[in-house]
Amino acid sequence: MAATQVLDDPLRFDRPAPPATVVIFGANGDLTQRKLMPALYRLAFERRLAPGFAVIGTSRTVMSDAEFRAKMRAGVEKYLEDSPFDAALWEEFERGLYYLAGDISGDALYHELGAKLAAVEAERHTGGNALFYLSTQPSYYARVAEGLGTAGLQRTEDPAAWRRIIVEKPFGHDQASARQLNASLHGVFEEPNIYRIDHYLGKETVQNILAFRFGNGIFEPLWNRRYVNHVQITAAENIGVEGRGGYYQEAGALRDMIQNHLMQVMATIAMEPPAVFDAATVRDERAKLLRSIRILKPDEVATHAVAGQYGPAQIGGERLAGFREEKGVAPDARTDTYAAVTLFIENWRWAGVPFYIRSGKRLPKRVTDIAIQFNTAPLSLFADGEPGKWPNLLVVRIQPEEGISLRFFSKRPGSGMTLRPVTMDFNYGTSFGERSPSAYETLLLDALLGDPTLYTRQDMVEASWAVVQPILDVWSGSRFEFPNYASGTWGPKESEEMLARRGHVWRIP
Amino acid sequence: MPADAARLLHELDETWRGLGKDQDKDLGTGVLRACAMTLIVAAAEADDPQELGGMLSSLMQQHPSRTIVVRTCPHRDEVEARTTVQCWMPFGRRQQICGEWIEIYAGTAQFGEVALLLLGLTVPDLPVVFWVRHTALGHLDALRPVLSMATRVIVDTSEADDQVSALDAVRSLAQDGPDGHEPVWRLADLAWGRITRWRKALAGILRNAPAPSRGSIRWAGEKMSMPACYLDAWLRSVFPGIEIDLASSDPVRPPVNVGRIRVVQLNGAGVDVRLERPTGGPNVVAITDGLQSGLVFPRLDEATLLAEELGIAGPDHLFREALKVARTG
Repeated sequence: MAATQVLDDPLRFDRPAPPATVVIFGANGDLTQRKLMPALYRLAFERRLAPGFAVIGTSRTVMSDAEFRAKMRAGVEKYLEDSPFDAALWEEFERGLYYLAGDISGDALYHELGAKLAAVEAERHTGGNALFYLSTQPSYYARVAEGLGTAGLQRTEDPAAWRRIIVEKPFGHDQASARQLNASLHGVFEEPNIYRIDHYLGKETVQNILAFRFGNGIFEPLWNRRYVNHVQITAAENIGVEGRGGYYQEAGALRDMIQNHLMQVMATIAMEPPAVFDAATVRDERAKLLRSIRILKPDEVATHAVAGQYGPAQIGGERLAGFREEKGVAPDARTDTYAAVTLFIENWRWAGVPFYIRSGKRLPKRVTDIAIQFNTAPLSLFADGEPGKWPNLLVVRIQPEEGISLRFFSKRPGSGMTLRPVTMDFNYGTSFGERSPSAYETLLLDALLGDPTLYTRQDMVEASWAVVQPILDVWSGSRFEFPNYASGTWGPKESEEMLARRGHVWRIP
Repeated sequence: MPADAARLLHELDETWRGLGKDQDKDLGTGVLRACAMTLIVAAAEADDPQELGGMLSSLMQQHPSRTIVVRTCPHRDEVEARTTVQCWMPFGRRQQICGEWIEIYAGTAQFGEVALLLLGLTVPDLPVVFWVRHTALGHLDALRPVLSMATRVIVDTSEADDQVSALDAVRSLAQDGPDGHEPVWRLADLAWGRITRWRKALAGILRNAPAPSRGSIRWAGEKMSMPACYLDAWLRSVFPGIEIDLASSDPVRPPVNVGRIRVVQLNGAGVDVRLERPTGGPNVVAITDGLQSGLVFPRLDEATLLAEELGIAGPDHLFREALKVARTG
């Protein structure tokens, strides 16, 4: 009898990952050092990895196993957050790290990788399980998948073993290329073995939206067009493109943030309750919501979407460069460093409720949150009219300080009936003194466990592209007067005007 | 002045008012009153007040509560109590978070009075957790009314010198509900929490392995430690029929925070697992079918164990099953 389930204790510890080899393509890159390796090390520290765990890093750079291990150690020591570095544990952990240099555009690497996987499997008892992580330029995704298929690495002879592939966003740069990428991946891997990572879905607060909505009885009855006036989703960064000008020039805020992260957040906020909490059902509901978003007609784009680009500014005695002055950016670049859209969901729950989404760089602060503004009381009993100015607001803060707050009215102490808005605040950090896992820890572990709940699926990707594509099409044929907002402000005035048409204003997060 | 629930609550109320006056809304300073439960701690007079206070203060940051410490002072003939608030400032914030703290001193003869006092001091509509720091205190009949309103009773047999009587005491608390019924509280033993890391490691290693048929556990100290007793019981409850050899590997018994379990070996057809913690320190070596890997078992203090225990929701069936088959040697 296998000891599989009898030893589990869901009350006290999470299910550990099965033995496996994680193969990282682009292992010499920043993401591996900053995010992936610290996340894997932290999982080892938390005893979430099986003893038979290994990593094979691959990239073009020639390196020995020892050099790769030393480089990864430096990365973990530097970028490990909220936890100590344990040298003794690292020594054990690094025994499972291997490196293979090669060119991902040729076939030879994949055949060598097959041999290396077999050797590592024999040495580390990984059971034939392998997770291929594509941390490369997106333009190589299809090629790597094809290479793995050519070498037959997408499957094993052992029916109990699994092979999975993780791809980072962007999943295509438009609707057509997203479909093409999906077709290329499906040519080698079946959809259940493709994990499209959207690290926003791995954030604790985004997951907590599900707990908040479906674990409490008092909010869901209010979660509809009858009580909600509108929803604002904000993802603001105070920094510019920070050396990623070349990449960002081709992407822009609408592609880089709204099409993926923020539409997934919107789907989580607005989806119907799943019948059961399993991957397929939760993802079905998210996908259904994304398909319910009304697609804008070309003549509606001007009134429902705003593009912006930051210009130079003088802040705190320092001159900040405008986007067109950034390294790697063309002096006449038409990239949107700010995007705001008004979306409507065409279902019975949300019909007529605007969802305003904005994202931008060089805004006044780094903040991501979701604000649900409720309708005002139907009758104003109080003379000063304050409640009309400050409707009830539920804010889910994703970063930097995760939490939830509710704004409501309270009577000011003393005689007379004067009201004042107050907030009830729940703060993750102070309510749970324990460390939250990073998004990459959560998502890597889920992929090893075969749980795709927090990963996006082909139909979700294509549905969100379907919403964004008409806007991109109109914008590509438009001449914008860029730059149209100064660094350190909340974006172009057109964005304020977009909300003003419905009598709304952007809140200041 | 004799202790009185209304007076103590009034004192706390006054303290809050005083703290509220000091806050500056514009600066975002001031205090936030936090409470998720009533935590009643039964402590002995000999317990170091500083150590206990420090431990409960750090616990409060994870599980804010109205903490009521009942100190048993055998020769005292009057119940005395005092109130205060415990505050801490989270990193990067200007607002303090505060929890309430009541300390009661009473002789064993006054425990009936203490029980009535506690009934008036619990926070309404929130769980009541009763931590019996010394197992024997849980059997004081006078405290039965307090036990019966507890949603959870936590003991710690890790330090027990006599495993037989410790196990008897735990079993009695686990079965002992009002009028001979099942207890209304959920019983937990911090000694069981001390083996969570061992159980987690074994669960990971044995995930797809055949069930072992024999094994051994080795510990430091002449007498078997309660964590070793629970580990043996858990293995026998999840692998019926397994034979486990129990023995001390080192006569010197280390302090409770140093791991006393030193080796766990499990064997059978197709399974060969050995976990070794040679010095009782944080590093553990796992050898599975000849493959060696490293694990870290952090040192566990009372606050960590208690915080973990308070974070657990729902009845602990595995602990109850292990308790049924536990043996002491």
